[in-house]
Amino acid sequence: MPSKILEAMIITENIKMADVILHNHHLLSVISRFGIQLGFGDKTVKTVCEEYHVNLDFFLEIINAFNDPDFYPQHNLEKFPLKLIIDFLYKAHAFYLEHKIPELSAMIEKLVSNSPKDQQNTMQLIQSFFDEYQKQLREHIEREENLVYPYIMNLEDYILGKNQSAKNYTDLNAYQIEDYAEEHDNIEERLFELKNILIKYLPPQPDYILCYKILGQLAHLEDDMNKHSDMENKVLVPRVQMMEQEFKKIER
Amino acid sequence: MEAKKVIIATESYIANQGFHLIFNKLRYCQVIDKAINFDGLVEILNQQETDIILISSSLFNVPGNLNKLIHQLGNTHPQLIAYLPNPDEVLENSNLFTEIIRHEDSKEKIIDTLNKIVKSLKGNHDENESSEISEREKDILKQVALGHTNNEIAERLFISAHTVITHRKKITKKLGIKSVSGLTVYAIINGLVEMEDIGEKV
Repeated sequence: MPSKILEAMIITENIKMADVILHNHHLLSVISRFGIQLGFGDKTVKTVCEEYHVNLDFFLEIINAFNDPDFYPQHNLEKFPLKLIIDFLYKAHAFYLEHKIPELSAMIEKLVSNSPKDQQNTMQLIQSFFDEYQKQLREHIEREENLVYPYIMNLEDYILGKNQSAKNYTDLNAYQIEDYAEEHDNIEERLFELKNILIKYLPPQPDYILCYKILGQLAHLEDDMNKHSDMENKVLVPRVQMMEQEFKKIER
Repeated sequence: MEAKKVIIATESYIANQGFHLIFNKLRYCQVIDKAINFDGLVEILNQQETDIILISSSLFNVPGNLNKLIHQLGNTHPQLIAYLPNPDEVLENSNLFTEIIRHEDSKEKIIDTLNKIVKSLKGNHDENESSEISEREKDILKQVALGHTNNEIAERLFISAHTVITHRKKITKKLGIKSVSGLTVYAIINGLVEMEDIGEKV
C-alpha cells in the first residue's frame, strides 16, 4: 500500500475513461458498481457518465477515493444525499457477496482438494476458517441492509420533511451506530488473519500458483473493503450522528 | 516486528506529503494519519495511540498548545520529533523532543535521524520479547485450540484469568492471529494439538 501514494493520479472529468482503467485496473470493480461497462473507446469520464446516467461529481469523488490511498473522504462526500452513498454501498455488498466471495470460495475449495493427503486436516481447517469468515460477513451485510440503511434513509427523509413519522427510530436505538464501526474491525481482522496464515504458516502447496492467486484476490478484497468501511465509518456514521441530534431537537 | 505508528502534523501539505514519503522508505514504521492543524492532531490522538509524532514548530509554538499536547498524551509517551520549517529557528523546550529535523537538512541526515528513533523503539521491543512463541504461550495456545475459555484455561494451568489474557494478547501480537479458529489452524499446522483432540469443535 504505502508506495502507491506516489502513483495515484487525480482523476478528472476530461480524462479518458480508458486511461483511468489503464492507470489502475482495480477501478474496474468500482465502475462496474455504477453499471458502467468496458468498450468506452476514447470517450471521457464525463461523456461515459452521461451515457450511463451517473452523477459525475459523485462518480469522481468515489473513483478518486478508491484510487488514492491518501484520500480523506469526509470533506467532499458531505454534499451528496445519503441515498446516493447508500446505493453505492449496496452495490459494493452485491459485488462482495455475488462475485468476490464465491470466487474465493471456489479457489480455496480447489486448493484444499489439490493438497497432499497428509495435509488434508490442516486444509479442512483453512476451509472452515474461510466459511466462518464468509458467514460473519453475510450476517453483517444483512444487518446493514435490513436495519442500518433503512434506518438512515428514514431518518434522512424525516429531517428533509419528506416523512412525518420517524417510526424506525426506536428500532435502531437498540443498535448503536458506534457498534457498527466495531463490527467492521472484526471483519477486517479476519481477512488479515487469513492472509497471514496463508503467507506465514501454510505448508508449501503443490498448486502454489493457485495459492498466489488466492492471496492476490484476498489483497484486492481487503483494499476494497477498507475503502468501503472508511466510507461507512468516516462519512456515514458522522452524518447519522448529526441527524440523530437534529432529530432529538425536532422531537423536543 | 510490528510497525511503529507515526502521526505527521504540519500546516504544510507539501511537508506532510513529503514526510509521508520519507517514512515509507523506512522499515518498521507506518504513517497512520496526518493532521494539518493542531485541533486535527488532538482529534487523531483522541482516537488512537501512536509511537511517533512529527510536529511542526508552527503548531507547537502557539502559546498553550504544547501543554495541551502533553495533557492529551497523558500516560502515553510517544517519541516527539520537532520539525523546524524556518532557517535558523531556535527550539525552545528542546528537552521534550527526541530529535529535531530542519527544513534544510539533507536526505541522509533526515533518514539517519528517523532511523535512529525507529531503531531505539525497536531495541526496547527486542529486549522484552522475541517473536518466537514461548513454551508457556504454547501451553496456552494448546488450550485455546482445544476449545477452552480463558477461565477454564486459568483453572487447568493454575494461573489467574488475567495472566491468561496477557499471554493471549502476546500470542496475538506475535502471530498476527486473534480469532480462536485462526489460532486453532496455527496449532494444528505446528503440531501443538492433534486433529482428533479438537474433534467436533471445527
